[in-house]
Amino acid sequence: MKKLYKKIIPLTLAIATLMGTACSKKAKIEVYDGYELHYQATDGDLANFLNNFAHRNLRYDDYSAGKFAVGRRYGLC
Amino acid sequence: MPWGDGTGFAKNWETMGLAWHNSSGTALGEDKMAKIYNHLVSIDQDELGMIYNSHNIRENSFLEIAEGAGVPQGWSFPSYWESTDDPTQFGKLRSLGSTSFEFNNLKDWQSEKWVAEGGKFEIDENTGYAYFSTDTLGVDDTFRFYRTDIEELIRAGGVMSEYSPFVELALDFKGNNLEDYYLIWKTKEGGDEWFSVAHNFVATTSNEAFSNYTDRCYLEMYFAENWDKQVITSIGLEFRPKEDEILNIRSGQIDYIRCQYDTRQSNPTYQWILSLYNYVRYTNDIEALKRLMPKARKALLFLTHALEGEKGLLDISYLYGHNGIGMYKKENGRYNFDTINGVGNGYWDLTVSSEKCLEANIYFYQALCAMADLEQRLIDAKVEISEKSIVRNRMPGGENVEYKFTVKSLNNLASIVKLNMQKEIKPVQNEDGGYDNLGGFWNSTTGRFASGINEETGAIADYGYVYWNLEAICAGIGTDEQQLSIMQWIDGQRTVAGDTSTGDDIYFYEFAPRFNTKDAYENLSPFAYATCNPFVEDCGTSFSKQVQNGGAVIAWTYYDIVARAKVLGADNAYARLQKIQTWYEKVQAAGGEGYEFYSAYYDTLAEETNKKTWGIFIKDKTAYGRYDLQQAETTGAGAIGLDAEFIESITFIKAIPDAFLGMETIGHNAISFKNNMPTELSLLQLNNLKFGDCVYNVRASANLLQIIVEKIEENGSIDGKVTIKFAEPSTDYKVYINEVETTDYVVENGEISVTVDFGNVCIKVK
Repeated sequence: MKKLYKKIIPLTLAIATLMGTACSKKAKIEVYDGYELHYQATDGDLANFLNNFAHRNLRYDDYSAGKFAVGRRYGLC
Repeated sequence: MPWGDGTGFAKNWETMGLAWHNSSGTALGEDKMAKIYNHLVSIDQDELGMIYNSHNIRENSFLEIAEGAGVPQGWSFPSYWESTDDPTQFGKLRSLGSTSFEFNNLKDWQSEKWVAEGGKFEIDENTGYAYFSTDTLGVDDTFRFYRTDIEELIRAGGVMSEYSPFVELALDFKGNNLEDYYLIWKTKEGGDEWFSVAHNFVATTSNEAFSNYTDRCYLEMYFAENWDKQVITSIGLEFRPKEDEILNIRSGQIDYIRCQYDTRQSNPTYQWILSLYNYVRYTNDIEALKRLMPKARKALLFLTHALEGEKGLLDISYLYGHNGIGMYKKENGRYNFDTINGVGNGYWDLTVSSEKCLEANIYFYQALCAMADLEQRLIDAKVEISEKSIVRNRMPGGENVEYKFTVKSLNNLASIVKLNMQKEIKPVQNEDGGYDNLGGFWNSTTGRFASGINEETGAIADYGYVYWNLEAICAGIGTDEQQLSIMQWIDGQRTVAGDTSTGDDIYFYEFAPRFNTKDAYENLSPFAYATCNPFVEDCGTSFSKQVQNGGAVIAWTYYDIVARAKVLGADNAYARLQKIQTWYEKVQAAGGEGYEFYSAYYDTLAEETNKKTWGIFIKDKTAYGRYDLQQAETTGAGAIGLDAEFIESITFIKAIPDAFLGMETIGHNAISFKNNMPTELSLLQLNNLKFGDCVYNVRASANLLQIIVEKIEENGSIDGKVTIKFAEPSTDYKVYINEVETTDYVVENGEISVTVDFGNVCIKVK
């Protein structure tokens, strides 16, 4: 389910965010659940970075952020 | 799905990464908050109140040596298998100071080496268990099985009990008329005399369900008479009947008698308290708090009573081998290490923990504050808990201890702990020739907090521990002057004499500062030796080759940004955030995906370094291993903590609301924000945060802070208050609530504060 941020965000913020996003050359993770944590900022690249990092880590397995069976024998060494 | 499934050592950080935004329902694929709650309820707690690191489940009897799930009550190492030169050589003469008796399929454990009196005892190599029973005894007769050839197995002529302050057992049986079963042993000093202790006298959790007994239990043997500092030459179990009764034992099976280190830590207990706090403060789930508060109160008693935090500083010397004694260099230039000393006590498990150590006290302080808050929530919600929280005395046989703290006494103790921590560190030689720290943790010579002292030499352990200093600031520890001194060091504004890393080099790893700034190899714990040794042999140091010595872990950039915002201002914190962004964009540009997401970037960096150095046939020793990612299950140890087992990396994202929106909870059903926007950022909005039943957004610009309710959970309600704060402008201003000018605000300590019902609200100051 996609959420329509446009309904709640002032036009200025939406435009600024979209401009920032459009200018970004960095890869984005496109799939967001409508109710997952999401950042927006007038600095679109910053928002992209935060969203990408957050999503990659919050959906740890979906993005294969790491191979780790929690609770296995290994310590931090 | 690891999130929500993490073990206890990082539960605080896991919940910091999850609880404040929408992690319930299906937003993250599965309900993470439900998993957190299940963990809070189900994780084991012993009779001292200590929370286990992981659930106390039984091991498969056929696990290979060194393949166990660690010790649930503690940490994975030091482990019994580290008492040998070679973990596959248990029971052979190669054993150093200890061994374990594993009734699995190892050929060493033949039945004839075990002696049974009064019943049967037989090892079955096909099942991995030894089986025992008795039904032929007379009145008051006992049944025992034991092994007497230990002195032939171990160089020391027996198990050196310093390497085995605990004995861990995993066994099952059905018993009639059993008074208790006893661990029995002989010592080199005692000759043929048998010594014994009832299992329930020294077990961290007693178990008298003898009619159908099943347990994995841990015996605090260092409290047993004639065990500590002895060489154990025989060991076994004895089953004793109740007086004037005939004992009967059926279906007995035992997996092991494991001579074990004391790997308990203070860490999982305060991690659990703080994860409960994180859970409750954003869910406002008072029913969960009501259910879990008796457990929380016992957990606090482990910290205040067993670890003597009630005296003003947490002291982990109750835990055997938990001192600040690490490696040292011998006259021949080789490093000496001994697994009986310097046992780790926290997330940084290679680093020795002093008896009074900085990290433990930072979290003890936070646990006290959290408990005060949780107690106040119960009062505010008019919830009374009749169940008494009582724990076992720290000394076996002593009087039980009941929880009697109040909000006031918790806050008072927290204030004392904080003041004590801020005092100058003060090593003083004691009558035994060792050293005690009679002060706090501040080192005025370096202008930062030290970790503690080496209890053997009295040396101050100040290796520029960046992360612990940042955590102290974020916890509110340190005077204004102390906090500024710390940040000036980390920010490179000043240099500390003797540091290995200074100035910009502290941020060599771009995404976070180094864990420490002074090569700590000489003071790393014994367990670091195997990990660090290749680097030390090649480079003379492990600095910048290990996350715990010059390396970096991204979760701690949370503390860096929040501490910067607090001490050096939002613009400074924002500048650091932008540098992290730059680093991340370089990582993305390297093109890695999945498991290789980060390593593609770091492999390139390592390759470039090698080209420069190997091109002229000179190995750059300082670069060797510098870009190794730590991935425990694949490449092993490393200098960089980003992915794989570092699931707490997500903690970083909480820096945004905490540093720039001043997100705080302030009691039952109350949350607050403080506008702390950086000058460069015109507008910031965080969507899908969670407070109680409400999913909401928060938006901020220079003079605005707005709450926008997105949805309310089915059958939920908006119930609570929100306080919105701004720094008071130096010029004339007016305050507006939803575009309507208001005088309903408070000005205190240079802050404008507006409190309204939680819901759609926009506060402006202009």
